[in-house]
Amino acid sequence: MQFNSFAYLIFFPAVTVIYYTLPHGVRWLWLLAASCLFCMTAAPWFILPLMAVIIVEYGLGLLIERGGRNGSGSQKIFLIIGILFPLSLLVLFKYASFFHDAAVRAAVAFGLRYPAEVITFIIPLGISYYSFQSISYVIEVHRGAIRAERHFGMFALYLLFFPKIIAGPIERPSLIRQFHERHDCDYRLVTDGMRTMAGGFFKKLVIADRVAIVVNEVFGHPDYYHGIYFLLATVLFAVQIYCDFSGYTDIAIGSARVLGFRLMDNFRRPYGAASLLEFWRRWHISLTTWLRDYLYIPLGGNRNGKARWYRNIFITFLLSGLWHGANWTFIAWGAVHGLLLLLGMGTRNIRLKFISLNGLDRAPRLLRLLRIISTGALVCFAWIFFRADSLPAAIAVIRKIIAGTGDVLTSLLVFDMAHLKAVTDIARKNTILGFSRETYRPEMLIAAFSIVSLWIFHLIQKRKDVWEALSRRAACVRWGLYVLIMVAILFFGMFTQDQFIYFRF
Amino acid sequence: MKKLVGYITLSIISMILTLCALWIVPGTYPHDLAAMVNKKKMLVSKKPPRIIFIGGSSQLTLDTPLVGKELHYAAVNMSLWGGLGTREHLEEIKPYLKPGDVVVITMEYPAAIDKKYVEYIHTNKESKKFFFLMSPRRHMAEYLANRQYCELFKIVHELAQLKAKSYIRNLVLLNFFHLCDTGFPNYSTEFNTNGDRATPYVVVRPLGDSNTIFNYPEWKNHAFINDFTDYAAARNVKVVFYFSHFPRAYYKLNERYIDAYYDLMKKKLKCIVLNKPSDFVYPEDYFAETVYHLNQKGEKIRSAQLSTMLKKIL
Repeated sequence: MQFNSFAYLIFFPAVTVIYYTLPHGVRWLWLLAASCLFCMTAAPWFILPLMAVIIVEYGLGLLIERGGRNGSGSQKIFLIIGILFPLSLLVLFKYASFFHDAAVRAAVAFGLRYPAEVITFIIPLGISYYSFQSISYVIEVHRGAIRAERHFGMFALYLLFFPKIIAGPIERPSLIRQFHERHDCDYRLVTDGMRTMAGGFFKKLVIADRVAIVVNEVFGHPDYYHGIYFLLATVLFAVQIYCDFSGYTDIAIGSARVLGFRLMDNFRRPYGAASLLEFWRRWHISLTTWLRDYLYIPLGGNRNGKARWYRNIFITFLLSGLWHGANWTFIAWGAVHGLLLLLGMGTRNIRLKFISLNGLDRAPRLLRLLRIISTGALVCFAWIFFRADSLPAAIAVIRKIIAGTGDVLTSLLVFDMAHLKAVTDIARKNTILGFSRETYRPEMLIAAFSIVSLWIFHLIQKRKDVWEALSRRAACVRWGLYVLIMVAILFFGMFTQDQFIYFRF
Repeated sequence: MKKLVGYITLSIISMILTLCALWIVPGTYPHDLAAMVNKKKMLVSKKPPRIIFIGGSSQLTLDTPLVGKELHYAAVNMSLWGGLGTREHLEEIKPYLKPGDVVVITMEYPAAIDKKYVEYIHTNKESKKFFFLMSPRRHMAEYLANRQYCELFKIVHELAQLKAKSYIRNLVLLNFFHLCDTGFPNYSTEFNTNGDRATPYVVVRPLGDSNTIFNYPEWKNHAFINDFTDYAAARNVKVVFYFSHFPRAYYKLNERYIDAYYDLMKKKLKCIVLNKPSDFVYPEDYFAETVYHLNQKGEKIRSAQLSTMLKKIL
């Protein structure tokens, strides 16, 4: 069941109403049943690996805690099993065919025979997310940061809770405590949650799915478009993936909040970041912090000299890329981010000198703006690898962008309008970019207007909490605005039920 | 809790009212198929006896004023797109038929004998939406009678979405003089007063053929023409069927299927079958960009031929 489906529109209010009418003692059972149903609507068997993880990790949590009390030393073995079990499922379902393909290619390259066959599985819903959540649970129990959960149902809910099962946020074990707490129907919480959900639907249905038409058209027909359109499509993909994923997260957070739960933030205006490091503090926060706490720091972080520090950063980004999918493009995406970050760290002093020589340090606002733009450009560059179907395709896109932008700039510099027309001509006239169809013009206008609106909203939100300020206004003003947002979604949303991008991961 | 339920209810009511308001207020629909609304208006406005052409875009390359003039009928070209479905199209025009009218039907070959395309036509939701727009009250009553409430909401919602987009378009283009127009916003520039395409199709080579897979025809896909003929006969309306034009090379390639199609129609149709498929087989240089659209030269010859054939039977 997708958040942007009609089924969810029925499912969620029904779950909420019944949840609040039930006594506190049995609410967890209702949430668990609803979450199982939510998970099984895609394919009933998706629940099986999840149940296996729940049972194994629940038992291991208790054993690790008991081992720690006895001082028997067995807790380390249980911890390793607790980490390896969900990871092995993840590898089996998500990466087996990828590693197999890589092995076949390597064997062919070295002239070896590689006869083994591999079965390709359908990736179970949310496996990347609940595997990481279960790992963080056993590690935290082992560290003694939390107590092992006794209540099997509450622990199951920690991994199964429907708003975040499919694409996160990757919650920490502290969420379990919230399932024990009593949640009464709070007007403020419910409206807050619904507003967050509405914002998410707006991002997904009005912006992401609309700009996706352009992105898919250009990336899907590379032979028909000049480089300048790939530049446009790459920038729009940056918008699409942000609105798609943060839209999903908003709906997840909002749904949980309506039910009285608080999920962690996943995005903090990432395209307003002035450096790549800052970008990663604002983008997919739940994954970044997870990797920091359970991979980067255990690897040694920045404690063992520069070389090891750089290595740890690179490994973390490489694995972050691999987490996104079993494809070289994702690994390259992670590697590009890692390399760019290392490059940034290595050239920091030179850049500071350059800034001081130019006097840019005396104009901090301009400097920040330039930094935001350059960070955005680097992030967009990396998105090419993320979006492309293969590494050669990504490289072809980069080549096209360089050549195309060069062509356009040269034409502009020498005022060669005929050449400019030639290098911006669109062969596929009957498409959204061809603009010849009456249907497409309004779509592009709505997309542009919505992106600008979102951007202005983010700018205001940076200075003051718009929703907080709004909550002090009269009810008719508040609800009037909510209705306006809902009407905008109703009339300008793309109800094509396009899958959220991060569902695939 | 009561307050919350109250506000949510009010919000839902406001949204439904906005939807209804948008449905009622005049406006265009920026979608090619919205031209159906303009064409229906044209049909209603023309006085009988009329010669009404029903078909796909192949019939848009027809000089209907010439045919009308030759035969002394008011010509109405209701054709738009082969994917709309002739059966559904004929159902739509039924209420507007008047004694003395002549309905000329043609079907492009994919719409007649490509199994997959025939299936696509009858499940195509886009067409359904714009047929709905031609006679909304009648369709609404049908949906309600069949208890298809969700389907009805979906269609009304999608059409209201299109209208909202049209307002955005008008706002940006400062197009305030046509706010009360209906149907397709570019209708007056893309179609003439008889419903033909105003400008000829651009000539492109090689010809596009939409990868039609020819199959032997099935009568169940054509039986509706006889039902329509019976309906029309009861109202003193004549029905004529003719085989569409096709490039020679493509005709030769699929001759056995097309011949089987002709045999079937000749044998089973109750209405007049005007021609043999070979009558409208032309060389490639009579065609524009696809095997369905004639260029100006082809249009002229086909229109004259059709006119002569119709003259003999009317």
